[in-house]
Amino acid sequence: MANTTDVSGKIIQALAEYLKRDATSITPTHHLREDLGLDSMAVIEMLYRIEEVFNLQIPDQDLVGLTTVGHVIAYVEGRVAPAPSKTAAKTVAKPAAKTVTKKPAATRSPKSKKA
Amino acid sequence: MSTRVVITGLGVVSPIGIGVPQFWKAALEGRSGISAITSFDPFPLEGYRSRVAGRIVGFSPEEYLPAGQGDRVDRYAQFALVAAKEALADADFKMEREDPHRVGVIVGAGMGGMVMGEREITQLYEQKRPHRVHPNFIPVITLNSASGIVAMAYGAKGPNLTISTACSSSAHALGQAMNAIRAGTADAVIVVGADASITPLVFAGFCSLRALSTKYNDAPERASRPFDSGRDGFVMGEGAGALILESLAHAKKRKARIYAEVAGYAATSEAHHMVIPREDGEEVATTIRLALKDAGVTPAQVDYINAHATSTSVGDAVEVKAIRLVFKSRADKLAVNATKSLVGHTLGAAGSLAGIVSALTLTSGQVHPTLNLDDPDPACALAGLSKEQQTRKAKVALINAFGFGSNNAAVVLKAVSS
Repeated sequence: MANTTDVSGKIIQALAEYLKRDATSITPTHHLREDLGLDSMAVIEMLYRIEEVFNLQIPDQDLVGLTTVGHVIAYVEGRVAPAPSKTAAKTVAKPAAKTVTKKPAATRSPKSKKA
Repeated sequence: MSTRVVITGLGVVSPIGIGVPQFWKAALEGRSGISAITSFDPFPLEGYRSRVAGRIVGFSPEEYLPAGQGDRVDRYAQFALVAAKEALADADFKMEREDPHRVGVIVGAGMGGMVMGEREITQLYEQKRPHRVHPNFIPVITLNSASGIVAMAYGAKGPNLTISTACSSSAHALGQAMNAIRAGTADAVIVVGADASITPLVFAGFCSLRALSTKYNDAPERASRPFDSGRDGFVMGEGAGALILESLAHAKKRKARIYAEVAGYAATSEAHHMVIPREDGEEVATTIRLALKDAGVTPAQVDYINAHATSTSVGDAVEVKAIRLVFKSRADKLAVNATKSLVGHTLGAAGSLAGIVSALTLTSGQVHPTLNLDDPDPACALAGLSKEQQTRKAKVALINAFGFGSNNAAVVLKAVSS
Protein backbone atom coordinates (compact mmCIF):
# COMPACT_ATOMS: atom_id res chain seq x y z
CA MET A 1 0.00 0.00 0.00
CA ALA A 2 2.70 2.52 0.91
CA ASN A 3 4.88 3.17 -2.08
CA THR A 4 8.11 5.17 -2.21
CA THR A 5 6.59 8.51 -3.16
CA ASP A 6 3.95 8.15 -0.45
CA VAL A 7 6.58 7.70 2.23
CA SER A 8 8.78 10.50 1.02
CA GLY A 9 5.86 12.87 0.58
CA LYS A 10 4.35 12.08 3.98
CA ILE A 11 7.66 12.52 5.76
CA ILE A 12 8.39 15.83 4.09
CA GLN A 13 4.83 16.93 4.83
CA ALA A 14 5.23 15.96 8.50
CA LEU A 15 8.52 17.84 8.66
CA ALA A 16 7.01 20.89 6.96
CA GLU A 17 4.16 20.96 9.49
CA TYR A 18 6.53 20.55 12.39
CA LEU A 19 8.90 23.24 11.13
CA LYS A 20 6.04 25.48 9.94
CA ARG A 21 7.65 25.93 6.54
CA ASP A 22 6.82 25.11 2.96
CA ALA A 23 7.16 21.43 2.02
CA THR A 24 8.84 22.36 -1.28
CA SER A 25 11.72 23.91 0.65
CA ILE A 26 12.64 20.56 2.23
CA THR A 27 14.72 18.02 0.28
CA PRO A 28 16.06 14.56 1.15
CA THR A 29 19.64 15.90 1.21
CA HIS A 30 18.83 18.25 4.07
CA HIS A 31 20.67 17.49 7.30
CA LEU A 32 18.20 17.49 10.17
CA ARG A 33 20.45 19.42 12.53
CA GLU A 34 22.70 21.45 10.21
CA ASP A 35 20.18 22.43 7.55
CA LEU A 36 16.81 22.25 9.29
CA GLY A 37 17.99 23.39 12.72
CA LEU A 38 16.49 20.47 14.64
CA ASP A 39 18.17 19.86 17.99
CA SER A 40 18.10 16.37 19.49
CA MET A 41 14.81 17.04 21.28
CA ALA A 42 13.26 18.36 18.07
CA VAL A 43 14.40 15.24 16.17
CA ILE A 44 12.65 13.11 18.78
CA GLU A 45 9.46 15.17 18.47
CA MET A 46 9.60 14.97 14.69
CA LEU A 47 10.10 11.19 14.76
CA TYR A 48 7.20 10.95 17.21
CA ARG A 49 4.99 12.44 14.50
CA ILE A 50 6.40 10.13 11.87
CA GLU A 51 5.79 7.11 14.10
CA GLU A 52 2.14 8.15 14.23
CA VAL A 53 1.84 8.73 10.50
CA PHE A 54 3.23 5.29 9.66
CA ASN A 55 2.05 3.47 12.78
CA LEU A 56 5.62 2.56 13.65
CA GLN A 57 7.72 2.21 16.74
CA ILE A 58 11.30 3.25 16.06
CA PRO A 59 13.69 1.57 18.51
CA ASP A 60 16.37 3.71 20.16
CA GLN A 61 19.21 1.93 18.41
CA ASP A 62 17.80 2.93 15.01
CA LEU A 63 17.93 6.66 15.79
CA VAL A 64 21.70 6.87 15.36
CA GLY A 65 21.79 6.75 11.58
CA LEU A 66 18.90 9.15 11.03
CA THR A 67 20.71 12.41 10.39
CA THR A 68 19.26 13.54 7.06
CA VAL A 69 15.75 13.70 5.62
CA GLY A 70 16.85 11.04 3.14
CA HIS A 71 17.95 8.74 5.95
CA VAL A 72 14.55 9.02 7.57
CA ILE A 73 12.77 8.36 4.27
CA ALA A 74 14.94 5.31 3.53
CA TYR A 75 14.52 3.99 7.05
CA VAL A 76 10.72 4.33 7.00
CA GLU A 77 10.52 2.83 3.51
CA GLY A 78 12.43 -0.16 4.84
CA ARG A 79 10.04 -0.54 7.69
CA VAL A 80 6.77 -0.14 5.78
CA ALA A 81 7.78 -1.95 2.57
CA PRO A 82 4.87 -4.06 1.27
CA ALA A 83 5.22 -7.63 2.39
CA PRO A 84 6.53 -9.80 -0.47
CA SER A 85 4.22 -12.69 0.45
CA LYS A 86 1.28 -13.32 2.73
CA THR A 87 3.33 -15.40 5.17
CA ALA A 88 5.77 -12.50 5.64
CA ALA A 89 2.91 -10.37 6.92
CA LYS A 90 3.18 -12.21 10.21
CA THR A 91 6.54 -10.57 10.89
CA VAL A 92 4.93 -7.13 10.79
CA ALA A 93 3.30 -7.85 14.10
CA LYS A 94 3.76 -4.55 15.86
CA PRO A 95 1.17 -2.42 14.06
CA ALA A 96 -1.36 -5.22 14.52
CA ALA A 97 -0.97 -4.93 18.27
CA LYS A 98 -3.06 -1.78 18.10
CA THR A 99 -6.14 -3.64 16.93
CA VAL A 100 -5.60 -6.31 19.57
CA THR A 101 -5.78 -3.76 22.37
CA LYS A 102 -8.86 -2.17 20.87
CA LYS A 103 -10.92 -5.34 20.77
CA PRO A 104 -11.39 -5.91 24.50
CA ALA A 105 -12.23 -2.25 24.91
CA ALA A 106 -14.93 -2.51 22.28
CA THR A 107 -16.50 -5.56 23.87
CA ARG A 108 -16.28 -4.07 27.33
CA SER A 109 -17.99 -0.76 26.71
CA PRO A 110 -21.47 -2.00 25.71
CA LYS A 111 -21.53 -4.12 28.85
CA SER A 112 -20.69 -1.24 31.09
CA LYS A 113 -23.36 0.86 29.44
CA LYS A 114 -26.02 -1.73 30.16
CA ALA A 115 -24.91 -2.08 33.77
CA MET B 1 20.67 47.59 57.46
CA SER B 2 20.01 44.88 54.94
CA THR B 3 19.86 45.50 51.21
CA ARG B 4 16.62 47.18 50.22
CA VAL B 5 14.60 45.54 47.47
CA VAL B 6 12.25 47.33 45.11
CA ILE B 7 9.70 46.56 42.40
CA THR B 8 10.47 48.19 39.06
CA GLY B 9 8.27 46.38 36.55
CA LEU B 10 4.86 44.71 36.36
CA GLY B 11 3.13 42.36 33.95
CA VAL B 12 -0.32 40.73 34.02
CA VAL B 13 -2.30 38.07 32.22
CA SER B 14 -5.73 37.91 33.81
CA PRO B 15 -9.41 37.23 33.15
CA ILE B 16 -10.03 41.01 33.30
CA GLY B 17 -7.25 41.99 30.97
CA ILE B 18 -3.90 41.12 29.49
CA GLY B 19 -1.48 43.92 30.29
CA VAL B 20 -1.27 46.06 33.41
CA PRO B 21 -3.17 49.11 32.06
CA GLN B 22 -6.17 47.01 31.00
CA PHE B 23 -6.07 44.96 34.21
CA TRP B 24 -5.85 47.96 36.54
CA LYS B 25 -8.56 49.92 34.74
CA ALA B 26 -10.91 46.94 34.92
CA ALA B 27 -10.00 46.34 38.58
CA LEU B 28 -10.78 49.92 39.60
CA GLU B 29 -14.02 49.83 37.63
CA GLY B 30 -14.92 46.63 39.45
CA ARG B 31 -15.34 44.50 36.35
CA SER B 32 -15.81 40.79 36.97
CA GLY B 33 -13.74 38.27 35.05
CA ILE B 34 -15.96 35.37 36.06
CA SER B 35 -18.03 33.69 33.39
CA ALA B 36 -20.06 30.54 32.90
CA ILE B 37 -18.37 27.33 31.85
CA THR B 38 -20.52 26.23 28.97
CA SER B 39 -18.64 23.11 28.00
CA PHE B 40 -16.09 20.64 29.26
CA ASP B 41 -16.42 18.62 26.10
CA PRO B 42 -16.64 15.59 26.01
CA PHE B 43 -17.52 15.47 29.69
CA PRO B 44 -21.13 16.06 30.75
CA LEU B 45 -21.42 19.49 32.31
CA GLU B 46 -23.95 18.19 34.83
CA GLY B 47 -21.10 16.19 36.36
CA TYR B 48 -19.60 19.44 37.56
CA ARG B 49 -21.24 21.00 40.60
CA SER B 50 -19.56 24.34 39.91
CA ARG B 51 -19.88 25.82 36.43
CA VAL B 52 -18.24 29.21 36.78
CA ALA B 53 -14.63 30.27 36.42
CA GLY B 54 -12.31 33.17 35.72
CA ARG B 55 -11.08 32.09 32.33
CA ILE B 56 -8.93 33.92 29.82
CA VAL B 57 -10.91 33.50 26.66
CA GLY B 58 -9.26 33.53 23.25
CA PHE B 59 -5.66 33.67 24.49
CA SER B 60 -3.16 32.90 21.78
CA PRO B 61 0.52 33.13 22.73
CA GLU B 62 1.58 34.09 19.19
CA GLU B 63 -0.15 37.40 19.68
CA TYR B 64 2.27 38.33 22.45
CA LEU B 65 5.41 36.23 22.05
CA PRO B 66 8.13 35.83 19.43
CA ALA B 67 7.35 32.97 17.02
CA GLY B 68 7.92 29.56 18.56
CA GLN B 69 8.77 30.79 22.08
CA GLY B 70 5.66 29.33 23.68
CA ASP B 71 5.32 26.26 21.45
CA ARG B 72 6.82 23.66 23.74
CA VAL B 73 5.32 24.72 27.04
CA ASP B 74 1.91 24.47 28.63
CA ARG B 75 -0.66 27.23 28.93
CA TYR B 76 0.47 28.34 32.40
CA ALA B 77 4.05 28.80 31.18
CA GLN B 78 2.81 30.74 28.15
CA PHE B 79 1.00 33.05 30.56
CA ALA B 80 4.25 33.35 32.52
CA LEU B 81 6.19 34.28 29.38
CA VAL B 82 3.68 36.96 28.41
CA ALA B 83 3.59 38.48 31.91
CA ALA B 84 7.40 38.41 32.21
CA LYS B 85 7.80 40.08 28.84
CA GLU B 86 5.53 42.94 29.88
CA ALA B 87 7.22 43.33 33.27
CA LEU B 88 10.72 43.49 31.75
CA ALA B 89 9.61 46.07 29.19
CA ASP B 90 7.78 48.02 31.90
CA ALA B 91 10.98 48.07 33.98
CA ASP B 92 13.04 48.98 30.91
CA PHE B 93 15.20 46.08 32.04
CA LYS B 94 17.72 45.16 29.34
CA MET B 95 19.47 41.84 29.80
CA GLU B 96 22.36 42.89 27.57
CA ARG B 97 23.29 45.51 30.18
CA GLU B 98 23.25 42.97 33.04
CA ASP B 99 25.58 40.30 34.33
CA PRO B 100 23.34 37.34 33.40
CA HIS B 101 24.41 35.31 36.42
CA ARG B 102 23.10 38.09 38.67
CA VAL B 103 19.55 37.91 37.26
CA GLY B 104 17.35 35.17 38.70
CA VAL B 105 13.91 33.81 37.95
CA ILE B 106 11.58 32.61 40.72
CA VAL B 107 8.20 31.25 39.73
CA GLY B 108 5.28 30.31 41.92
CA ALA B 109 3.01 27.65 40.41
CA GLY B 110 0.44 25.49 42.11
CA MET B 111 -0.64 22.98 39.49
CA GLY B 112 1.64 23.55 36.50
CA GLY B 113 1.28 21.96 33.06
CA MET B 114 -2.07 20.31 33.51
CA VAL B 115 -3.43 20.87 30.00
CA MET B 116 -0.92 18.52 28.43
CA GLY B 117 -0.67 16.50 31.63
CA GLU B 118 -4.34 15.56 31.57
CA ARG B 119 -4.39 14.91 27.85
CA GLU B 120 -1.44 12.55 27.91
CA ILE B 121 -2.60 10.65 30.98
CA THR B 122 -6.07 10.24 29.52
CA GLN B 123 -4.74 9.02 26.19
CA LEU B 124 -2.37 6.57 27.83
CA TYR B 125 -5.07 5.00 29.97
CA GLU B 126 -7.65 4.94 27.17
CA GLN B 127 -5.46 3.81 24.31
CA LYS B 128 -2.90 1.72 26.23
CA ARG B 129 -0.14 2.84 23.90
CA PRO B 130 2.81 3.83 26.09
CA HIS B 131 4.95 4.51 23.03
CA ARG B 132 2.56 7.30 22.04
CA VAL B 133 3.13 9.38 25.17
CA HIS B 134 4.42 12.69 23.86
CA PRO B 135 8.19 13.22 24.12
CA ASN B 136 7.56 16.62 25.66
CA PHE B 137 5.29 15.29 28.39
CA ILE B 138 7.97 15.20 31.11
CA PRO B 139 9.58 18.59 30.36
CA VAL B 140 6.11 20.18 30.23
CA ILE B 141 4.68 18.76 33.42
CA THR B 142 7.86 19.15 35.42
CA LEU B 143 6.87 22.03 37.64
CA ASN B 144 9.84 24.25 36.80
CA SER B 145 8.99 24.44 33.10
CA ALA B 146 7.87 28.06 33.47
CA SER B 147 10.94 29.24 35.40
CA GLY B 148 13.09 27.43 32.87
CA ILE B 149 11.45 28.88 29.77
CA VAL B 150 11.41 32.44 31.18
CA ALA B 151 15.15 32.22 31.88
CA MET B 152 15.79 30.84 28.39
CA ALA B 153 13.72 33.55 26.78
CA TYR B 154 15.90 36.28 28.31
CA GLY B 155 19.20 34.61 29.14
CA ALA B 156 18.74 35.03 32.89
CA LYS B 157 21.40 32.73 34.34
CA GLY B 158 21.07 33.47 38.05
CA PRO B 159 19.15 31.44 40.65
CA ASN B 160 16.27 29.68 38.92
CA LEU B 161 13.64 28.30 41.22
CA THR B 162 10.04 27.20 41.34
CA ILE B 163 7.99 27.37 44.49
CA SER B 164 4.88 25.24 44.74
CA THR B 165 2.85 25.80 47.87
CA ALA B 166 -0.57 25.71 46.26
CA CYS B 167 -2.42 29.01 46.64
CA SER B 168 0.42 30.85 48.36
CA SER B 169 3.07 29.88 45.77
CA SER B 170 3.82 33.26 44.26
CA ALA B 171 3.62 35.16 47.55
CA HIS B 172 6.54 32.95 48.55
CA ALA B 173 8.16 33.61 45.18
CA LEU B 174 8.06 37.33 46.00
CA GLY B 175 9.46 36.76 49.48
CA GLN B 176 12.18 34.37 48.35
CA ALA B 177 13.19 36.76 45.58
CA MET B 178 13.50 39.53 48.18
CA ASN B 179 15.65 37.22 50.31
CA ALA B 180 17.88 36.26 47.36
CA ILE B 181 18.56 39.92 46.64
CA ARG B 182 19.08 40.69 50.33
CA ALA B 183 21.52 37.78 50.56
CA GLY B 184 23.43 39.17 47.61
CA THR B 185 22.94 36.17 45.35
CA ALA B 186 21.19 38.24 42.68
CA ASP B 187 20.89 41.90 41.65
CA ALA B 188 17.49 41.32 40.15
CA VAL B 189 14.88 38.59 40.06
CA ILE B 190 12.04 38.09 37.60
CA VAL B 191 9.22 36.95 39.87
CA VAL B 192 6.28 35.20 38.26
CA GLY B 193 3.16 33.52 39.54
CA ALA B 194 1.21 31.43 37.04
CA ASP B 195 -1.43 28.76 36.77
CA ALA B 196 -3.84 27.56 34.08
CA SER B 197 -5.60 24.52 35.37
CA ILE B 198 -9.28 25.04 34.68
CA THR B 199 -9.05 21.62 33.11
CA PRO B 200 -11.57 18.75 33.28
CA LEU B 201 -9.67 16.78 35.93
CA VAL B 202 -8.41 19.58 38.17
CA PHE B 203 -11.73 21.38 38.08
CA ALA B 204 -13.53 18.14 38.95
CA GLY B 205 -11.07 17.61 41.80
CA PHE B 206 -11.84 20.99 43.31
CA CYS B 207 -15.57 20.26 42.85
CA SER B 208 -15.17 16.97 44.69
CA LEU B 209 -13.30 18.74 47.46
CA ARG B 210 -16.45 20.92 47.82
CA ALA B 211 -14.18 23.93 47.64
CA LEU B 212 -15.90 25.73 44.75
CA SER B 213 -18.93 27.99 44.57
CA THR B 214 -22.02 26.18 43.26
CA LYS B 215 -24.90 28.54 44.13
CA TYR B 216 -24.22 31.07 41.39
CA ASN B 217 -23.91 28.90 38.29
CA ASP B 218 -26.62 31.01 36.66
CA ALA B 219 -25.09 34.30 37.80
CA PRO B 220 -21.34 33.81 37.31
CA GLU B 221 -20.35 37.39 38.09
CA ARG B 222 -21.87 37.04 41.54
CA ALA B 223 -20.09 33.79 42.44
CA SER B 224 -16.82 35.18 43.83
CA ARG B 225 -17.94 37.13 46.91
CA PRO B 226 -15.26 37.23 49.61
CA PHE B 227 -16.47 38.36 53.04
CA ASP B 228 -20.12 38.39 51.94
CA SER B 229 -22.65 36.32 53.84
CA GLY B 230 -23.77 34.71 50.58
CA ARG B 231 -20.35 33.24 49.78
CA ASP B 232 -20.23 29.51 49.20
CA GLY B 233 -16.76 28.61 47.99
CA PHE B 234 -14.09 29.95 45.70
CA VAL B 235 -14.20 30.41 41.95
CA MET B 236 -11.29 29.03 39.98
CA GLY B 237 -9.35 31.51 37.91
CA GLU B 238 -6.28 31.38 35.72
CA GLY B 239 -3.54 33.80 34.78
CA ALA B 240 -0.10 35.10 35.60
CA GLY B 241 1.53 38.04 37.26
CA ALA B 242 5.15 39.13 36.93
CA LEU B 243 7.19 41.59 38.98
CA ILE B 244 10.77 42.72 38.46
CA LEU B 245 12.51 42.90 41.81
CA GLU B 246 15.96 44.44 42.19
CA SER B 247 18.13 45.92 44.85
CA LEU B 248 17.48 49.60 45.45
CA ALA B 249 21.10 50.34 44.53
CA HIS B 250 20.77 48.48 41.24
CA ALA B 251 17.50 50.23 40.42
CA LYS B 252 18.97 53.64 41.23
CA LYS B 253 22.09 52.94 39.20
CA ARG B 254 20.05 52.32 36.10
CA LYS B 255 17.60 55.11 36.98
CA ALA B 256 14.62 52.77 37.04
CA ARG B 257 11.13 53.91 37.97
CA ILE B 258 10.25 52.36 41.34
CA TYR B 259 6.73 51.19 42.22
CA ALA B 260 7.31 50.10 45.80
CA GLU B 261 9.72 48.46 48.17
CA VAL B 262 9.38 44.79 49.12
CA ALA B 263 10.17 45.31 52.77
CA GLY B 264 9.23 42.17 54.66
CA TYR B 265 8.23 38.56 54.32
CA ALA B 266 7.29 35.64 56.52
CA ALA B 267 6.75 31.98 55.73
CA THR B 268 5.18 29.60 58.22
CA SER B 269 3.36 26.32 58.44
CA GLU B 270 0.33 25.78 60.63
CA ALA B 271 1.32 22.11 60.82
CA HIS B 272 -2.39 21.57 61.29
CA HIS B 273 -4.47 20.23 58.38
CA MET B 274 -4.05 19.73 54.63
CA VAL B 275 -6.93 22.01 53.63
CA ILE B 276 -8.51 23.53 56.76
CA PRO B 277 -6.95 26.54 58.50
CA ARG B 278 -6.74 26.80 62.27
CA GLU B 279 -10.00 28.47 63.14
CA ASP B 280 -8.66 30.73 65.88
CA GLY B 281 -6.51 32.59 63.34
CA GLU B 282 -3.47 32.48 65.64
CA GLU B 283 -1.14 31.01 63.05
CA VAL B 284 -2.13 33.52 60.39
CA ALA B 285 -1.70 36.29 62.96
CA THR B 286 1.78 35.03 63.78
CA THR B 287 2.69 35.01 60.08
CA ILE B 288 1.53 38.61 59.69
CA ARG B 289 3.46 39.70 62.80
CA LEU B 290 6.64 38.05 61.56
CA ALA B 291 6.37 39.77 58.18
CA LEU B 292 5.76 43.17 59.81
CA LYS B 293 8.77 42.61 62.07
CA ASP B 294 10.90 41.66 59.08
CA ALA B 295 9.81 44.90 57.40
CA GLY B 296 10.55 46.93 60.50
CA VAL B 297 7.01 48.30 60.75
CA THR B 298 4.43 48.18 63.50
CA PRO B 299 0.77 47.24 62.95
CA ALA B 300 -0.07 50.92 63.46
CA GLN B 301 1.89 51.82 60.31
CA VAL B 302 -0.04 49.52 57.99
CA ASP B 303 -2.65 51.22 55.78
CA TYR B 304 -3.85 48.59 53.33
CA ILE B 305 -4.32 44.83 53.18
CA ASN B 306 -4.67 42.80 50.03
CA ALA B 307 -6.49 39.91 51.63
CA HIS B 308 -6.14 36.28 50.63
CA ALA B 309 -9.96 36.15 50.77
CA THR B 310 -10.91 33.27 48.52
CA SER B 311 -14.66 33.47 49.24
CA THR B 312 -14.78 30.28 51.28
CA SER B 313 -16.85 30.17 54.42
CA VAL B 314 -14.09 29.28 56.90
CA GLY B 315 -11.08 30.86 55.20
CA ASP B 316 -12.40 34.42 55.01
CA ALA B 317 -13.56 34.42 58.63
CA VAL B 318 -10.22 33.08 59.89
CA GLU B 319 -8.34 35.76 57.98
CA VAL B 320 -10.42 38.54 59.52
CA LYS B 321 -9.95 37.00 62.96
CA ALA B 322 -6.21 37.09 62.42
CA ILE B 323 -6.33 40.68 61.17
CA ARG B 324 -8.20 41.65 64.36
CA LEU B 325 -5.68 39.79 66.51
CA VAL B 326 -2.77 41.70 64.97
CA PHE B 327 -4.25 45.12 64.30
CA LYS B 328 -6.77 45.37 67.15
CA SER B 329 -8.60 48.71 66.91
CA ARG B 330 -6.63 49.67 63.81
CA ALA B 331 -8.26 46.77 61.94
CA ASP B 332 -11.22 49.01 61.09
CA LYS B 333 -9.01 51.84 59.92
CA LEU B 334 -7.29 49.77 57.24
CA ALA B 335 -8.37 49.74 53.63
CA VAL B 336 -8.90 46.10 52.67
CA ASN B 337 -9.87 44.45 49.41
CA ALA B 338 -10.07 41.04 47.79
CA THR B 339 -8.62 40.73 44.29
CA LYS B 340 -10.17 37.28 43.95
CA SER B 341 -13.60 38.94 43.81
CA LEU B 342 -12.54 40.19 40.35
CA VAL B 343 -10.60 37.32 38.81
CA GLY B 344 -11.38 34.31 40.96
CA HIS B 345 -8.69 32.26 42.61
CA THR B 346 -5.80 32.01 40.19
CA LEU B 347 -3.94 29.58 42.50
CA GLY B 348 -0.23 29.93 41.72
CA ALA B 349 -0.76 33.38 40.21
CA ALA B 350 -2.70 34.76 43.18
CA GLY B 351 0.25 36.04 45.23
CA SER B 352 1.83 37.77 42.26
CA LEU B 353 -1.45 39.45 41.31
CA ALA B 354 -1.81 40.57 44.94
CA GLY B 355 1.72 41.99 44.73
CA ILE B 356 0.88 43.88 41.55
CA VAL B 357 -2.39 45.23 42.96
CA SER B 358 -0.64 46.29 46.17
CA ALA B 359 2.16 48.06 44.29
CA LEU B 360 -0.40 49.90 42.15
CA THR B 361 -2.46 50.78 45.23
CA LEU B 362 0.61 52.31 46.90
CA THR B 363 1.52 54.34 43.81
CA SER B 364 -1.99 55.45 42.80
CA GLY B 365 -3.75 55.78 46.14
CA GLN B 366 -6.66 53.85 44.63
CA VAL B 367 -8.14 50.74 46.23
CA HIS B 368 -10.11 48.52 43.87
CA PRO B 369 -13.62 47.45 44.90
CA THR B 370 -14.40 44.08 46.46
CA LEU B 371 -17.17 42.78 44.24
CA ASN B 372 -20.40 41.30 45.52
CA LEU B 373 -20.03 42.59 49.04
CA ASP B 374 -23.77 43.05 49.17
CA ASP B 375 -24.40 41.75 52.65
CA PRO B 376 -21.14 41.73 54.62
CA ASP B 377 -20.87 38.69 56.88
CA PRO B 378 -20.69 39.90 60.50
CA ALA B 379 -18.01 37.24 61.08
CA CYS B 380 -15.82 38.97 58.49
CA ALA B 381 -16.79 42.58 59.04
CA LEU B 382 -14.06 45.15 58.51
CA ALA B 383 -14.91 48.83 58.11
CA GLY B 384 -12.35 49.25 55.35
CA LEU B 385 -13.94 46.71 53.01
CA SER B 386 -16.07 48.19 50.27
CA LYS B 387 -17.75 47.22 47.06
CA GLU B 388 -16.90 50.69 45.84
CA GLN B 389 -13.51 52.00 44.75
CA GLN B 390 -11.75 53.81 47.62
CA THR B 391 -9.07 56.48 47.68
CA ARG B 392 -6.40 55.94 50.29
CA LYS B 393 -2.93 57.40 50.54
CA ALA B 394 -1.34 54.17 51.69
CA LYS B 395 2.28 53.90 52.70
CA VAL B 396 2.47 50.31 53.90
CA ALA B 397 0.65 47.36 52.33
CA LEU B 398 0.26 43.82 53.62
CA ILE B 399 -0.33 40.84 51.35
CA ASN B 400 -1.77 37.68 52.88
CA ALA B 401 -1.53 34.32 51.16
CA PHE B 402 -2.45 30.89 52.45
CA GLY B 403 -2.10 27.54 50.76
CA PHE B 404 -3.22 23.96 51.10
CA GLY B 405 -0.74 21.94 53.05
CA SER B 406 -1.14 24.24 56.07
CA ASN B 407 0.98 26.90 54.41
CA ASN B 408 1.03 30.62 55.21
CA ALA B 409 2.85 33.60 53.73
CA ALA B 410 2.76 37.34 54.31
CA VAL B 411 4.58 40.02 52.35
CA VAL B 412 4.92 43.70 53.25
CA LEU B 413 5.32 46.44 50.64
CA LYS B 414 6.23 50.03 51.41
CA ALA B 415 5.65 53.11 49.32
CA VAL B 416 9.01 54.35 48.05
CA SER B 417 8.73 57.74 49.73
CA SER B 418 8.34 56.18 53.17
